[in-house]
Amino acid sequence: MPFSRGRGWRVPVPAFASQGIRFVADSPISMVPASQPAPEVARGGREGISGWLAERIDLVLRLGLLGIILIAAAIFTLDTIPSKHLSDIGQSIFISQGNLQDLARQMAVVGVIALGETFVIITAGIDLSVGSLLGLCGVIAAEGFLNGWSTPVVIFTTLLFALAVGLVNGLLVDMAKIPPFIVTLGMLGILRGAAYLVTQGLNLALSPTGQPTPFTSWIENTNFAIPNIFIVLAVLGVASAIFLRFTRRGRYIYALGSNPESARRVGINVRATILTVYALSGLSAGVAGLLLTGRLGTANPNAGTSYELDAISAAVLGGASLFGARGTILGTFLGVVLVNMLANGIDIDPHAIDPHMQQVVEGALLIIIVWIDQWRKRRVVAG
Amino acid sequence: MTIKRRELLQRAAVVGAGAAAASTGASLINPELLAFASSARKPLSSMRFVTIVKTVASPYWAIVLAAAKHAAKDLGVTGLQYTGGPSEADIAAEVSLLENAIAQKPDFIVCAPTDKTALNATIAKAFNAGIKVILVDSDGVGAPRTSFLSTDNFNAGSLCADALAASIKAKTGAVSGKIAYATFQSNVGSLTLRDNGFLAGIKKYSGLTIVAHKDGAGDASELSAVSAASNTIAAHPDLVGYFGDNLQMVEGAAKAFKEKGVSTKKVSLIGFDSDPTLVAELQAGQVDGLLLQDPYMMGYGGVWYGVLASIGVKLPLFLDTGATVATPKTANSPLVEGLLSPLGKPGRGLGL
Repeated sequence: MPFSRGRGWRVPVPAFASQGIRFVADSPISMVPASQPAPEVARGGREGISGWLAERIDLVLRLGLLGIILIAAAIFTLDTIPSKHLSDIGQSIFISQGNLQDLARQMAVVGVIALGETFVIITAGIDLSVGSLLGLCGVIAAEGFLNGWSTPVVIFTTLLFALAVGLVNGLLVDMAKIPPFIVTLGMLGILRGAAYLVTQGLNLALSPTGQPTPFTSWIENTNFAIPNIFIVLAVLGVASAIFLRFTRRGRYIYALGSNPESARRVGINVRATILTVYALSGLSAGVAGLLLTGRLGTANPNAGTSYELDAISAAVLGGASLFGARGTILGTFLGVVLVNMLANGIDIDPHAIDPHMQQVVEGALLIIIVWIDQWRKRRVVAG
Repeated sequence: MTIKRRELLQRAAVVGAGAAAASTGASLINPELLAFASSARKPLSSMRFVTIVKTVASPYWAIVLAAAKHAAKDLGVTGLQYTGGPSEADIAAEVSLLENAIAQKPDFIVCAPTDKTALNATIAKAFNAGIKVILVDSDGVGAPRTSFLSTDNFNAGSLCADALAASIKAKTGAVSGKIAYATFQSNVGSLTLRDNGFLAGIKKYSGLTIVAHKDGAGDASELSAVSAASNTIAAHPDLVGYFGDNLQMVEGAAKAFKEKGVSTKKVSLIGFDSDPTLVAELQAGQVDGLLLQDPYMMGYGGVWYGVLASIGVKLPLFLDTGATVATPKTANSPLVEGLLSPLGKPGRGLGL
């Protein structure tokens, strides 16, 4: 559970202070006008071209992650024009329909997991079991199909199982007061082992003869040229964002992450909130497992290994803090886009970079990007 | 008629033992072998062994383990353990398993080292303790062993190059164009040999240029394989050939090509190993060639060799278990069928 931020008796203001309510420990709730918004960046002070340039760069950086994504996309687009002439920019491989569809597919599975992970991270918890849960849910779905169950029954059973696992995680965190890191780490091992036990280490093909099933066909299909697998991510993303921002439970999640003791004292049902976030995380792993199994047409007991780390990095890139109370669904989504776009862009680059150099470049870029973002934030605060 | 791999090996073993087949066919313990074993004071029924493969989480190794179990049943020896690590990348796990196996003092150990040097010290420990060591599939370079059963991976890679060239010629009319190859994991002995063999074989065809070399980073869930293949096609839409050096890479590539709607009339796909999904894709023409190793022989023969070594028979140091290329045309021939699906029926289960 989150520890206090070392500021003594003063409670950190939860994220919804802008609504005009400030919570102070050991005193009744007082309705106090909102404090000022964040200070503006000091403009001007530098003249001439360098001043103009600084302002332009600053403008882009203020868009934050989105700006960085746009810059990277521009670089990749220009780099992958087959004829190397600027006029042929429409021929660029990076922005071709095929590649954008690939990119959409490549980020869908980890994206869904990252959504669930965001909820947990905002409460200053962590869920390391989502990768293994994805693998096990995929295996359960495959077993269901192989036993002749209909698609709705398979989906329902898999999601029910995923929800149950999430609830168990939540109960262990809340009732047994075990740190989320430990609970979900243990669950990671249990679920992964279970997946191996069920499959005896083998892949489970959804159809022994390799023929497409209605489920895999739907996942492979596109609507308006957008892969269905990505549409699922988009719909879930919008729903999550609405839930987090506009519902009471969503605001309680931030409050819990900010200071659980205050949240408890104001009457927020802490147990319900914790169960909600872990259940949502489990459910997202279940959906992701179904999507991956549908896309590959096989359930692999190894599926999802270390996806939880990708999800956590995407969330943190998007602005979530592992200490809680910070993070947005949009930020997480942008984080997922950035990571996958880097991998995709570097991979299709015709300069044919050695695959190992690719890994080095991806890692370095991630650090540089977060560094620039931190620098920008410090500039904003310093005024 | 499908000749099951197991029946084929049983008949071969019977002929090799130089005696008429037992009428029931259920037991392979013919009188001469029993007599020889007893005279060597090593009755078969008291023999114990351990099988350690690279990982249990792979269809390929599942075949090896199943074959080892079949051999144990046919010979009447006892397998103490059929095991492996959680992934091919986990070398430390295999070292621990091997050390535990040595502690159990078996008569012989059948082992597939997952790294070409890291297990050598432990293998030497087993060998020096008097346990017969039969290595399978991958070599522990420099380690002492009683025998080594494996595919000649360099030669197999070269066979793949020839098969790819032939397929490209059949589809496009000329042996020229861009090709790419993908490896499952770097610095694995058997995979590196396959890649080197492939590259050496491709040199013969001056019209083919290699435009991309992808690495699957050991991702056994195939998602990296799918991404690698789809990104390759995106970067080089006029690709004519793709080679995956193991099951995950070729299966991922087949899925990626299907997903992107790549025409199988233009692109040729060749890879190693097979499982029911790949067999179906081979028969449908989505995959143009599969290099079939003989994991069943490695498991079955490995145990057999271990038994023979334990009763004092001198064995050859290396046995090439063979490599066969299966194409859509030859996929249904009896010999290839046995290699494509050694455990008999599609789906799962170890088929004991």
